[in-house]
Amino acid sequence: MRALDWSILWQYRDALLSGLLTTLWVSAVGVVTSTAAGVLVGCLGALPLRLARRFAGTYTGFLRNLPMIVKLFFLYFVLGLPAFPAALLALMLHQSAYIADVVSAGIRSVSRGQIDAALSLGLKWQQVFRLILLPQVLRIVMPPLTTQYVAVVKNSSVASLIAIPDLTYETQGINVETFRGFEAATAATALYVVIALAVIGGMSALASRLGTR
Amino acid sequence: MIPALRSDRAQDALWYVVVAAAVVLGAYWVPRLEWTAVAPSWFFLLTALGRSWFLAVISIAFGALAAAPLALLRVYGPPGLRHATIALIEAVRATPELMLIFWVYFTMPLISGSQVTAWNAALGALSIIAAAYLAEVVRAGLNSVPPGQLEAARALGLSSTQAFGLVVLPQALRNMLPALVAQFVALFKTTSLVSAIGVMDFFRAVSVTKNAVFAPYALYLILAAGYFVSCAVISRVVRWLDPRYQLLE
Amino acid sequence: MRRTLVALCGTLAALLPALPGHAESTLQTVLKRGQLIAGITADSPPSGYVDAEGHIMGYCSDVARYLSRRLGVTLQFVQVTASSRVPLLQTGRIDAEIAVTTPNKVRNEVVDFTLTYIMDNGVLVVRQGDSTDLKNYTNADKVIGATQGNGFVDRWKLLSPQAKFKLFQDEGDVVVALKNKEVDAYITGSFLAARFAKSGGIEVSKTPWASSPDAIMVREDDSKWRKWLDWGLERMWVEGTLQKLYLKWYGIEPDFPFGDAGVIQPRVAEIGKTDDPWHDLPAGFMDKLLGAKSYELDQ
Repeated sequence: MRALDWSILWQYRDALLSGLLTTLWVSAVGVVTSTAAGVLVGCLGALPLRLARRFAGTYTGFLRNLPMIVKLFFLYFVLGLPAFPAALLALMLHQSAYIADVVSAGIRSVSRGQIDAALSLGLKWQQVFRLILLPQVLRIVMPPLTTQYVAVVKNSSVASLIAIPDLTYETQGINVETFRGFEAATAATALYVVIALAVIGGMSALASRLGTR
Repeated sequence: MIPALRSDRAQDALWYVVVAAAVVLGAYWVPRLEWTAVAPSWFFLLTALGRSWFLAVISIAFGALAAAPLALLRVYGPPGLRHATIALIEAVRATPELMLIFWVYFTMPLISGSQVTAWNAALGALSIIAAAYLAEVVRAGLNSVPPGQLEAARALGLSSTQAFGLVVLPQALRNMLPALVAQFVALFKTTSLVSAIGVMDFFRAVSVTKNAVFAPYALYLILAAGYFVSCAVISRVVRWLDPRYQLLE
Repeated sequence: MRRTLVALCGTLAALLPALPGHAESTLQTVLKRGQLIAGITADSPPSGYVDAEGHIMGYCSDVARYLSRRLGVTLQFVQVTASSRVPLLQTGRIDAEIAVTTPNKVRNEVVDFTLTYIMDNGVLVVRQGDSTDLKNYTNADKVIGATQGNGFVDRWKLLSPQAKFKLFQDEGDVVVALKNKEVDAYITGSFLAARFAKSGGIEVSKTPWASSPDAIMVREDDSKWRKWLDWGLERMWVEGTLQKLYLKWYGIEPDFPFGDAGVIQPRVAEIGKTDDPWHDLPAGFMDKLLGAKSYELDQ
């Protein structure tokens, strides 16, 4: 009967803490950059311009069909980018493809008739965007965006495979050094879940604030 | 907007030029990789890719079976059950997939008392993940149909079941399709994590080959191509099933 | 939110396993089952790897094949990874890990190890043209690459306490990182380094800078099983089989003092009356084992 030794978590608290911080900031940058890129490409995909739609279609189609790990390996090993830029770029490319889909689906789901009616009533494009498109798109887009942001947090753990010292990397380190994998994995899982819940809670609060709930 | 690019033909031309340049680059670089070293392993890698496919398809099937009742419970269930379902789905979705796989493989046998092989643990964990995510997709799909539709159908004399089955469900399914495809593709990518418990899936087969023969660039390309082609095929199949399904074009 | 937390606490509580005590020695379990389940690695050629057709190869798997025959049981291989090897052992999924695990004190608190049966010599792998002198890499601004779980990382920390590491999952990935200048030097065993040197662009240091012993890993407090494995290894040494397998896979005779400071226990060849199975090998077995296709011995 092997007793679980939770003191290992205290012993390695510095490693776990630094891993947690790395995960937090990598995820934060990932959320911001992938949202920016995703919204951009998503809007491109909903434009009446053929080239823009083609570009957006290829962007998402190509990037969504490649697992995060493959993008990461390509950027790091094949192109030889340094570790952090490779990880952040891979995270951004990966998640922005999904977010672009979500955004353009959201835009297109607002029925064309509303826009036409508004325009014919004399509203300008900025007003149409602000009063009709934006509120409805936001309401539709918030739940899937929440999923995407939680995914950013979890996908950031893939960066551990190229020696980015995030939470997963430190957990693995504790495991192979001390063989106390259960304790380390439990701690890491708990932390990831807490971060995910924080993201979900934050998005929920944001949705209420924006009045889309 | 550059006036010259306004016409569709000009845009197409520009696009094809870019694509042709990419093809030329590929045709130069690809043959220069270490293909002779990798050649003997092609069958081993192919069967491993098949195994990844098998894992993804079976776990999506199981997941879908579990997701439908879960989603219905979540939307239409009585309050107590509804909250429990929400908690369960959120718990699974918030946990990193690798941890779930480890948990199913290492901890479940201790609780159930029976041994679980890596393969079965992988299937089980992936099905649980699929179910949790698909439940959300189904729920979003059901919610995306305007409630007016259900009311109108009832008003026209259809029973609740008929209204749901003939009016709400088809629209919900159509709205769900992009997200469903996305989930399948995501699940296929997640299958790569089962390599951590020793299942010889495509990802592990590539790493094992990387250790046996030193041909990393060719193998990274094979890794990318394997996943890319598989996921692209999935998207194509969906497009064939529903011709009106459009992604972005 | 609260309900989600309750569900999560439940999940986490379930993550605290109460491991069943093993009153019976693994030796008895294996004999009763009629099969030895050996954990092996596929990530460390030539100690353990998988060839192009998917056959399990390497020194460790041959040792496992030999020991299972002497036990009089069949053999099943389970591929383990650095992160799964201990949980698999502790939950009884494998009877022993016959791979390349280095004993250290912290690990010994959780599992037990047999005698050393592989001595891996640590070498430095650098980019072509860089110096292979150890002194150039022990300062704090050099980044050392290795795989996670590698015994050499601890050894290097003894040489250079403030060393910076980048740890990867795959040996091949570290080599690519070295070539891409993401790490300045790569520490690994001499056998692996020799294989990668063939790919060009890198240099291996001529003299090893450390030795890393590897042993078979078994569950804690299972002396009967651990002792049988120790006797098995010692008998293989007395026969000369261990040396022949070492030569087959590593190209050299074992260059370390095998046994207890180089001495084999006297009378180890005497087969005991109880708890000491040692069956005869079938005809042609040794020829197959020492040949290139030892995997054909697997059923």
